[in-house]
Amino acid sequence: MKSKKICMIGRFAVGKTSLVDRYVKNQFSEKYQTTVGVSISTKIIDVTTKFVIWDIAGFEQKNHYKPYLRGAHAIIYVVDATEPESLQTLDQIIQDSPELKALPAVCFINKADLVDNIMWQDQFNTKINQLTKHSYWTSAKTGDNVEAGFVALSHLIS
Amino acid sequence: MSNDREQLKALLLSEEIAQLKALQELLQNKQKFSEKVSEVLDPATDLAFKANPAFEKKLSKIDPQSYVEAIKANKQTFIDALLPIIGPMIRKSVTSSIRRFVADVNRAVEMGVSAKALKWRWLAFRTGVPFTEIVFNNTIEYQVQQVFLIDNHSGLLITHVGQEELLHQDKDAISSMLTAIQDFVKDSMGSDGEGLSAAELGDDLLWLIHGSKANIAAVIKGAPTQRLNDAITTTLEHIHIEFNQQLAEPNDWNNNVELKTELEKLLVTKTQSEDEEQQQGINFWPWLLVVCGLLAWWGWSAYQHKVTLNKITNQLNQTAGFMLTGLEYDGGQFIATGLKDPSVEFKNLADNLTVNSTPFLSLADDIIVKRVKNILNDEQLEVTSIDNQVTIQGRSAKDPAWQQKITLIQQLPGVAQLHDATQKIPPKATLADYLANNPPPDKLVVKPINDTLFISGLASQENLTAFNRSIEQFGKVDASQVEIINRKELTQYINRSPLNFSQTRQINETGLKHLSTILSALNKIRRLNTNTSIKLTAQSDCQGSIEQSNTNNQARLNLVQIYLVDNGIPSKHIQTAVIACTSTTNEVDADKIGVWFEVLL
Ligand SMILES: Nc1nc2c(ncn2[C@@H]2O[C@H](COP(=O)(O)OP(=O)(O)O)[C@@H](O)[C@H]2O)c(=O)[nH]1
Ligand SMILES: [Mg+2]
Repeated sequence: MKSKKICMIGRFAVGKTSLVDRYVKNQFSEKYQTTVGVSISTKIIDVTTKFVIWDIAGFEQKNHYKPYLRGAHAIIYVVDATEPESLQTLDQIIQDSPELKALPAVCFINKADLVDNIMWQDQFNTKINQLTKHSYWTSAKTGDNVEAGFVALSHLIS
Repeated sequence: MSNDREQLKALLLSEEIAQLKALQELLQNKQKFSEKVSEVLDPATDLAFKANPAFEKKLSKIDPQSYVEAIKANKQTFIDALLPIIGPMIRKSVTSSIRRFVADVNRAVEMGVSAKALKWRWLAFRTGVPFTEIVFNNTIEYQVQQVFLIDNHSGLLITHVGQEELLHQDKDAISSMLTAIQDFVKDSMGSDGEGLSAAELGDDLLWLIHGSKANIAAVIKGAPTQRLNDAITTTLEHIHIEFNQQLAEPNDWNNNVELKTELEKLLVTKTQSEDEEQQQGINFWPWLLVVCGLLAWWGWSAYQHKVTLNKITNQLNQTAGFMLTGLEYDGGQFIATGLKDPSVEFKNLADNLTVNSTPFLSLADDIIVKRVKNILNDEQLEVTSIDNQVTIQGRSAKDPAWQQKITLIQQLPGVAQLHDATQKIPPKATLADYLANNPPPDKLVVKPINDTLFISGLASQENLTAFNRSIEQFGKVDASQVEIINRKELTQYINRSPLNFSQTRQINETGLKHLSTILSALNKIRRLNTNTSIKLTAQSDCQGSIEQSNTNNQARLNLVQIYLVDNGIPSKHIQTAVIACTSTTNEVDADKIGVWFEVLL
């Protein structure tokens, strides 16, 4: 079995930790708990693959997150559907670490359950397409598309 | 009107107005005004300080509260600023307190003389490993429970050994987390080295050993020593060399048996086991015996040395006229130094003792006695000295040099008072003196030649023997030249040999022969003593008539007397007597007729 390092990338409070928790533990909490540094979870995908998921905090601070991205096999970009500004953070990260573009990646457009608050526009999709062709409307709260998104990533890797 | 006024104003004050405008502009333009003020700020403050010293104080006084506020507002900035200073300080303080602790332990342990401590001491001596470390190794227990070999790039686990069920988390998550923590530490602490190297996990300890490609994380229960850290580092280096390929190839991770085996060697359990001795094949007790033996030997020889030293010290201290000032032992030889009176002669000194002495004049009583005796040179005399009071006792002839000697002695150093208690003995008689009082008997002559007394002349045996004895005191006696005359035998012979004859007119031939023998014997005696007399007594058998007999007796007496006188015997040395007949006999008895002799001394 091979371990694959997966990094969750996105502005704070977009739901990275919630998505990992949903995927790994099938749990969700409304309470916001800031992640300090990094939180790591693993999940066995199939007999050949195990995900080691790095839930990284602090993308707002330039450079601080960089060491955590070293040796990553794949990236999960996360944006908040209710706060499209979170896309800008991704832009910034890509600028700082262009090497990420070469890695297999998916994008989770999260909090899809907050239907009323969604502020999504088509132009945002164009932006996401520059990062990855594989985006998913997810909800950590309901679990919608979360598993599917992770599985899709695993296929991208192998 | 107003226009005129303006014109007038312009005419009169145009220059001033321009200046005022420029001033106004300067005051309004913050940039320009600041530049202007800054030009004078420095000299102005100098002036102000000079004029008012209190102002300087006021300016430099900073309210501590402002620091508190500043820190509150910018905690992180302060942390970032202080960390480079505080970090090394903390490390230094921790290091020094650990050193102190180690030193304390060392001291405490060194005090211990238990068999175990001795054993460790020996081990330390034998192996060169510091004693403290051996104590730690033997008293400290630890167990390496988990070892993670982690790719230090991605943080992914390369290989793990240990009991997985003891882990609270997935081993992959742990290795990633550890890597992340390291990155976090490096990032937040600004450390540019290897970052985190150890952490405490409750009662357990986590060590992180860094390699160029992979790190080792070890979870250890208990208290490991630096030696273990060294061992892990060595293993990691070994892995980097031997498994270089495998480390670089993620496909080989987590299923490399050799790598796992290598790591499993690190899963050691260190206990205070008692059977360690046997494992290492060190039997401690014979060594202890050897050490005891050596100690005993050392003790015994030290004791012997001390005894010898004491003996020598006593001997030297008791030698009068020698002052011991130092005693050293060097290469099997005792070297004594001291002051020695020239008259001291050491007796029975130990073979391994050399005396290096400086001469001095001793005033010890024994030495004074020695000096006095040297001057007296008379073994008969007894000299004593008590507290420098010298007494001479015994008998002495007190020859003419005596007084000189006494004077000399009185001047000897250390002689405070001299008591001459000698008894004078008369001088010995000389041979001449002796002979004057005791002339040699008989015809003996004494002639001393060198030490020998030669005696010559005539003497009877008895007299020679007695005289010999009497002069022996004057020297050896040589009496070989003395002619011994046996006066006693000769006298007896003469006295017992009467001349029996009956003729009255002449002495017959046999009678003359007999008479000549008597004469020669008498002459011999007379050589010893010329005054020797002889008495002649005539008698007969009184046959016939008394008258005839007496006449005949007289006639025979005369014949003998004449013979003796004729042969040199003075008549005054001849006494005569006739035994007259008072009755007659009928029987003729020739043996009763004749002259009888008697030597008179
Ligand atoms: N309604 C809803 N809330 C979400 C969802 N995902 C996250 N949240 C909430 O958003 C907040 C931030 O989430 P968190 O996972 O901590 O974001 P992170 O900072 O990116 O890790 C938390 O209060 C979550 O409960 C979601 O899909 N739907
Ligand atoms: Mg989080």
